[in-house]
Amino acid sequence: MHSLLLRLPLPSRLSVVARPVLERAQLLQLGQQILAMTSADTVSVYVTHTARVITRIANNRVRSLDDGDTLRIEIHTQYGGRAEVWTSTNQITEGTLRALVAQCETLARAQIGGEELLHKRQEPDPYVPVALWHDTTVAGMTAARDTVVPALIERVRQHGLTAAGFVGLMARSTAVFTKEGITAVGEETDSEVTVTAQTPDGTRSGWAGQAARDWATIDYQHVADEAARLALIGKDVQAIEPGRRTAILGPAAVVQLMRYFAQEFDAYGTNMGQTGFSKASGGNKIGQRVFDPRITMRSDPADPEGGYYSFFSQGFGNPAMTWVEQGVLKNLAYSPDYGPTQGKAYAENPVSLRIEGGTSSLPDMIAACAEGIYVNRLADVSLLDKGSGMLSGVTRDGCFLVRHGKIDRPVKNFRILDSPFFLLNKLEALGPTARAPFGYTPPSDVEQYDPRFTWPRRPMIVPPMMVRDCNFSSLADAV
Amino acid sequence: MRQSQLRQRLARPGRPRPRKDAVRACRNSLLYDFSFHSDLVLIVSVRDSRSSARVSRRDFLATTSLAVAGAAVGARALRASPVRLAPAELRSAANVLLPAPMAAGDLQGFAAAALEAARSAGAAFADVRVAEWQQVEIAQRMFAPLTPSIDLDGTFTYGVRAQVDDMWAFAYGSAPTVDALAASARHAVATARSAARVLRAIGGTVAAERAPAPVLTGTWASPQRIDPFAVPIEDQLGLLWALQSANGRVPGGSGPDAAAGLDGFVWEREMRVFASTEGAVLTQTLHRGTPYFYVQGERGTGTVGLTLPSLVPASGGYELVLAPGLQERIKAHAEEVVRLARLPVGPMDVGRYPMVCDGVTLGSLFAMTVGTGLELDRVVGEEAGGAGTSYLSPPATSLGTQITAPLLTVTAGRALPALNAVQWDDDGVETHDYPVITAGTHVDYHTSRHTAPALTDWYRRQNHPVRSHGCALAPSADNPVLIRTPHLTVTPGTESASLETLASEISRGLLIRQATLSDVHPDASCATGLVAPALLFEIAHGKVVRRITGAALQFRTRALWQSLTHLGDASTVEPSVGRSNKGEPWTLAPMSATAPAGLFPTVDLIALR
Repeated sequence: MHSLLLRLPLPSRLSVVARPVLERAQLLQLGQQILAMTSADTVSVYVTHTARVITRIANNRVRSLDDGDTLRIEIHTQYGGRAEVWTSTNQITEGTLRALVAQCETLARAQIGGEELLHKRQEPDPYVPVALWHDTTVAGMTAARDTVVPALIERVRQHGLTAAGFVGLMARSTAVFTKEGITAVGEETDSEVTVTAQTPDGTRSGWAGQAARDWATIDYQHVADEAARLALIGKDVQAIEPGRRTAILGPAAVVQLMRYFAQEFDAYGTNMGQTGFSKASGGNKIGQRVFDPRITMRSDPADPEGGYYSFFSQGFGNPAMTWVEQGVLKNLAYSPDYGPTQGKAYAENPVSLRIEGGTSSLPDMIAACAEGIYVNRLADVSLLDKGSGMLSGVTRDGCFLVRHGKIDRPVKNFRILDSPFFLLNKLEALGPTARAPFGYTPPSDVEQYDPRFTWPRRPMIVPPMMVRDCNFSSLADAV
Repeated sequence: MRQSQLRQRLARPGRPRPRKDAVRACRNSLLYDFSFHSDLVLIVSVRDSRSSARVSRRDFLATTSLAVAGAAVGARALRASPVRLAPAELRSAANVLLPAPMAAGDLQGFAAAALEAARSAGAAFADVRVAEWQQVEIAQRMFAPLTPSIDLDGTFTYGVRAQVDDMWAFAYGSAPTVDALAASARHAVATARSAARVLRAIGGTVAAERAPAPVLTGTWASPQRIDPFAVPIEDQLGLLWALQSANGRVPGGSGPDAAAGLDGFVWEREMRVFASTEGAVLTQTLHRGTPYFYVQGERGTGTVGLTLPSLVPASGGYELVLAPGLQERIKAHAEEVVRLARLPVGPMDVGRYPMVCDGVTLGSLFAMTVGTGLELDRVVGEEAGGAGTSYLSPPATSLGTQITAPLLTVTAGRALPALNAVQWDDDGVETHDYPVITAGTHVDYHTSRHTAPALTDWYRRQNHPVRSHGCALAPSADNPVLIRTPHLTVTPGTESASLETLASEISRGLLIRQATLSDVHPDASCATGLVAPALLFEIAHGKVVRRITGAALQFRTRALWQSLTHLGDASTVEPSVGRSNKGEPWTLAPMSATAPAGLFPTVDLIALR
């Protein structure tokens, strides 16, 4: 076999100090070695190494224990302004990489005819310092399972309920290298705990979760207790008429409604008339009030709860952005190709968002509600129409009728058919913000091909909300 | 500004997409709407005089004839294509450009090392999947200036499952060394042992029972007539150009402006070895092709596109894109797109209407509702925290009952040419076709060795063996093994009935064309849902009179399928191919169905805006 350029860390369950992913020095070594193999004018090398420790719980038992690491190397080659050639592999044997680089360069050189694509030299950007790595999460990858998982099952079962759940910890290192001298290296950890508690008759359930880059901040016991509490509210589930009602949306519901804003803030799509921020007469709505004045949306790589890599794509710097301020659209996400043509600075589409909150807690919202529906969580949320932002989703694991300022009874789940563009203009109250867990949220069609939507999803920091006239369009049978 | 190269394709199952797609994801506005319409869309537009990439009808016929004859897409096609690859040495095929695949013996050796390590560490049982996968994607933008895009991908992956006492653990990786596999195997054993010790005290371990299965050894390869990895890339670009050139001016058309699109072929080959401590050693070579045509046709307020049922992702080789009669079908679709695009467009009153749908739609609806609900791990609650549960539970109250109209009979399996066709599943079980619905009666589920014992009572009453139906699937060798819905075959009606015949009976109603799996949105138990198709039409007095926008259908699954009154005949059978996510974290696996057209007497039309 060919020699390995690097030796990957081997899984070691007993070592609490082992680093499960490539270190910065190793990434730099690998990147430089690959670049040294190339002769093309333009070369970008992307390296991502991810280690995950996953435990799934079902029926009060451990359903699976899945541990391992995934390495991905992508090489992008281009000569002059000709069409680019991409290749990827997960192998770091020298012979494999040399052969791939050589053949890709052969193809890239060969593409004559067609358009000479514009190529502008990429200047280095400053990178915002971010702190996304926590050794406590790495330690948790080897130590947490034996204590956390039994505790989660026990805390739910002691209430006479059936537990399902997910405990996931991740470490990742990522690097981008270009022939022009761009080098961007990042490392991150992340974790998520979710619990579903279901009654023995299967008619009621509750769900709770937490996500944090620092495993030490996860209160898994609270997660289990909250899921059980929601499952035990009330007795018989009743079906009530669908229709437009006041909705009190917990953070896990809000995050599902807001997750498609990454596409909506895209500048090119907006200027082409394809998003909710497009003007009917052409152009975009920058400078116009698009939401309730209490809504401010930002993204910041250095956000203490919602941080992410300070670079994107070929090592372009990721600036902090204010997208909406007091309801007014302030910015759109211009790509590095599109931005310069419009005289705009570029920024990554806001996969991670912070929506500023307010002071009304969930109990406050319930107390202030004459009649409405408290939605704990939304699932299977799909974007049906980008132009209006129309979404379809189903309430799940905790849906309650609120009357006269109190939770009245659990109700059958609903399908919601509405748009955040409408809901954020029908705001009644906002609560304090926190990073919201996504839970099981596989990518939709528009997200499917984007590695930023693999697990764990980038942090979204959102408040609970109370909105009026939310469209609970039909009943749904899922619990 | 320069038009960005945009790409729509079936994701490599189980694998996160490359970063290049993240780059493009930032720019994928223009073709965004089509990502909902289909994984494979040939949108044949009428080109207007502004197009600089026209090919005369004679040239088109000449080049396409050569292509469909299976001859080398050579001289004529190359002359037709304005894109050339330079010198002869560069007329390479992917075989030359990619590293030589590993030999089966190498993969089997890795598997043996993993099992030996698992045994030595004390595993009661272990199995392993070791795979090398390679892919070449050849794409070309439709309009001038033509710009090819070529991607080469390759991975080595493995996954080891180990059982200790009553606990399982799974460990995976990508380093092609004996040390790495052995370390993963030991890690899986140690993890299972530790978890068993901790969880046994609280009853949190898993029953170790598995359905019996013969211990098999063997080799199998999905057949292909023409190896796409051996066809020069230049020739494939030439064929793409010939197919793209089918979007010529349709006589009498004055319609949609052609816009940018990216068309291409994705070819995969994977050698996967499955081995177990029971003694199974199974080596499979899988060949898959995903042609995609992505041309946008637009008229007025929206776009219209039709898939080409004969160009769908499937197991096979280059012959998948050399189907006889392709040019005639492309021409027919071009004419139909023009006709549909000229229809008036607008909303329709919400309410209840009869609905006719084509085979693609019926297959998508069935796969995403009943089909998914038949996954036994969902039924027994193993996916309650993830993908969901099933309305077809518990088995004791669902099996043997009428869950659909009596005219519906459906079988499942992983036979050729389905995209997920294999000889043995990822439990080492030989796959086979099995009925799931017989004349409307629920008769079985999708099972694995781990879940099949849950149906012991039912199988014994039916005098059937308790066995897995071979539905265990790990989209990539480093993914956990889960039950995934295999290919579903809906038996067509026996009486002569075309789509037009079914529609002719309707005085006022709906027609759905080519709703894909992505257009169907069930709830977590598949009991209710919504379908938001791109191609929804109004039927009046048996004729399609208008394209409806801003609407969707909502349904209760059981009531919908029990209401089905007519099925089209064999001539209406069409494939629906897509993918579904499952697992935590989620992995992507192919899902497909073939089904005839159908008529439902009452569906609920709702407004989306």
